[in-house]
Amino acid sequence: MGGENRNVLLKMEGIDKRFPGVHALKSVDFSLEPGEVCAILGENGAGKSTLMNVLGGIYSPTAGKITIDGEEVVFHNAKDAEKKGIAFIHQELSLFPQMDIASNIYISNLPHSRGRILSKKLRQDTREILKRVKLEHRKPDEIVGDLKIGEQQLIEIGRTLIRGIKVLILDEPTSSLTNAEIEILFEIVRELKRQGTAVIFITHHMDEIYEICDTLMIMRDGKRIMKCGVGDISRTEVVNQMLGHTAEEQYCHPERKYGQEVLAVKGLCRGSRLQNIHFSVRSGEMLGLYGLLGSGRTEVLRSIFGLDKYDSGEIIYMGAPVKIRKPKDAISLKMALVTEDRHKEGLILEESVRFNMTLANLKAIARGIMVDRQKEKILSKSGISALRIKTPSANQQVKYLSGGNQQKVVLSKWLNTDPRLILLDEPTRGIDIGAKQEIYSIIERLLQKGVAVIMVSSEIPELLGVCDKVVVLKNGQQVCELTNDKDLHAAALLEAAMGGE
Amino acid sequence: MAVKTKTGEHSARDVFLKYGIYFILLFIVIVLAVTSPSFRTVTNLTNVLLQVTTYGCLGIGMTFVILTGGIDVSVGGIMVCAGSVYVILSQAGMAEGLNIFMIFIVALIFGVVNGYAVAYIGMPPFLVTLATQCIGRGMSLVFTGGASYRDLGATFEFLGKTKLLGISIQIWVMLLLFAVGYFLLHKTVYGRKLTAVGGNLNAARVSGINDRLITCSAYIVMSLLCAVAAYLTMARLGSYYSAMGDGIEFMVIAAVVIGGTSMSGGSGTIIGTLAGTILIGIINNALNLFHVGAEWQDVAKGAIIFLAVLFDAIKNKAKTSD
Repeated sequence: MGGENRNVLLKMEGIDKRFPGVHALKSVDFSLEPGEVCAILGENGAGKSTLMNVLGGIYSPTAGKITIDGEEVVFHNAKDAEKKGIAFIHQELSLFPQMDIASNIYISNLPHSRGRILSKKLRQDTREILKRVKLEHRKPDEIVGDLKIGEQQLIEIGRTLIRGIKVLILDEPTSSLTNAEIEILFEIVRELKRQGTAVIFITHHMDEIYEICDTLMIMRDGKRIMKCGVGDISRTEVVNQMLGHTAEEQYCHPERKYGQEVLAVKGLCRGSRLQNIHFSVRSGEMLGLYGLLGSGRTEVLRSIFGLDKYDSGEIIYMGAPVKIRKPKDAISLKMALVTEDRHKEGLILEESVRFNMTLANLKAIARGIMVDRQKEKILSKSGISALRIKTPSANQQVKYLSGGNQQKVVLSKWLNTDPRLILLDEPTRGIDIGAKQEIYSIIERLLQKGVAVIMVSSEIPELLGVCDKVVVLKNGQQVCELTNDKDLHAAALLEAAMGGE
Repeated sequence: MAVKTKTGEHSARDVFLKYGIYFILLFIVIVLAVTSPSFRTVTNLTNVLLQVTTYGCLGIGMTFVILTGGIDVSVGGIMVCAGSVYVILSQAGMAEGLNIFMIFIVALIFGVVNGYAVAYIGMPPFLVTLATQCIGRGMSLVFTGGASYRDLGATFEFLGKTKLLGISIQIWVMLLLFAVGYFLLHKTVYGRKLTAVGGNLNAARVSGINDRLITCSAYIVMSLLCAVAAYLTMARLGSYYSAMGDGIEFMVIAAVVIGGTSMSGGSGTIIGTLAGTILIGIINNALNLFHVGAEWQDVAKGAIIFLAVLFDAIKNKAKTSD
């Protein structure tokens, strides 16, 4: 492949990227021909986004060379990459929702004469672009915020068309689109392809890859594993390559004794985000929730805990139906929720360890209306030693703690409420392996004491290692419930979530 | 350990950012004491405190409000409206107890409206309170027709003229309120919840704290203190006038921010607000002692507020760069 470079549009050679403590890309090679549509696949943290951010000029690589049309380029920022014809459509759109379509498309390049906008020309040019992205029915002066989310995404793509683009990067473009909108997107991609533009798809959806892509590249642990034509590899083989050996290394958990049913969710629905979710968990049992980004896994936990409202469905807790309207209700039923984002929803960073640790159960440290400093001290001291939290003192501001220790503070906060059901949302994200193991053993202790646990995780080895059964979600729907026995493999889980055979 | 060095590195800067106000206060006091003989008299010093009793009372409530990440610019409007109701009733010969009760009721209505609009409806606090300020001031004119009132009665003079241990009872009231405010904010479960809501609304909500009720309560505390401030001001001056409390919100906010409470919410202390209030009083006093004209005093006040907010911005920047 690499020998004759006559027909190479983009070439990335030996791309290396190190962050403090993380080697995110390990000498990755990647090349594209004009008109090639390539899917990049890999688990979370495999290095897909990092590679694309290097190509988009957002990160500069630690080592390596990028060549476009035979000319070596160095990007210092996203603007540089844009000038060389790289267009990067991120998952979060960067539109101005209050402005009209025309201004959004031409914001950086408004046609003007001596400072006055030539509105007639602007409207005409915009209509051209709208035609190219199949939005003929929209007028240039419509407000972008009023459009459907899928249409907004097409506007975002239209915005890149006003300058000559050579490579279009689409990061999970279809996660918020309807089937009809996906068709339009593919139509646009095919047209770009005819004009010689290369398109990179970051996606997890197998059907889409086989429908639109010519080639696919698989990444794992910051390395390029393989690149080949989509016809040359089966879906099962793709999954196996993505997982590599990690699937074999499993954690082992001791024997667990299950008690009575603690929570049952029946027919939980919330708009189009969640449809007919049903599962149950017993005391001493750990249920995993798996799904790709946007599959609705976090929403399930939030609905149970009263943070989000749900339209219909029933939640049975300790054998009786319950109505949970706000987190306070859930807490008084002895539920706990460790949120996905410690900084945004878990901790008050400016405050001390003891402040955070006692926040979910202020009753325990109250004497009348006052805070009893003595009780607080005893409680936080015992929390610190029970979970072995590394902190100079209970008065330390939590922002100075490491990620793993911060997470332990959050856990400790909830253990203080003496919960019977713990909901964990990505409890080990962004913390080191040592702390991970410690958190597993804390959870194991709780399970042995008869607490029920539901854990959302995007790490398959983790789910296989610590859960008793796993519910797989896809696009807000429950795909299946798998019992974690010898027959459950990583590949089965990933295939269910991605929509394999 | 990494944890320790990290805090160590920042300590000098952190100390200045945290206690800078006290150094500045001390510095100004020393300079004034050396340069101005009239400053160091006991009468002048108690006068300084007497001048800031209104700022002080309002500052306590404002600390609560700003801690939740909000702002209340309606304080002057609430004061004048509650005051006007008092004088109307008092002129009509109603009992003093009822009149005082009505001051609190009027202020409470404003507090509930502000708090409900901000916490439950989600309206922006600045605009809500700007509107209620306007309403309050307008209503006071409706009630009184814009007239001023003197000789408000003998019972009224008690809080204006009485002295305890040689110090005006007004100052004692203010100090008592600071003590209550300190207790509420730093020693009670309620204060915990308030700090948590201001520090991270989402985390507080997930932890089962009724964030709306807590936010709303801050505006109600603020309004009740407006009632106290209105009564004290009228007692001190022995009169009611329609411009009472005009523009006072800015000096109060300045005092709170100078005292180290962050405009972005979550961190602040009552002691800091007391120090900020006294600092503003001393600066006012100095401007008078050196016979600075009223127009330049306005410029100086503006500059003080500017510097206070600048200081807050620098502090926030330092925080986010950690």
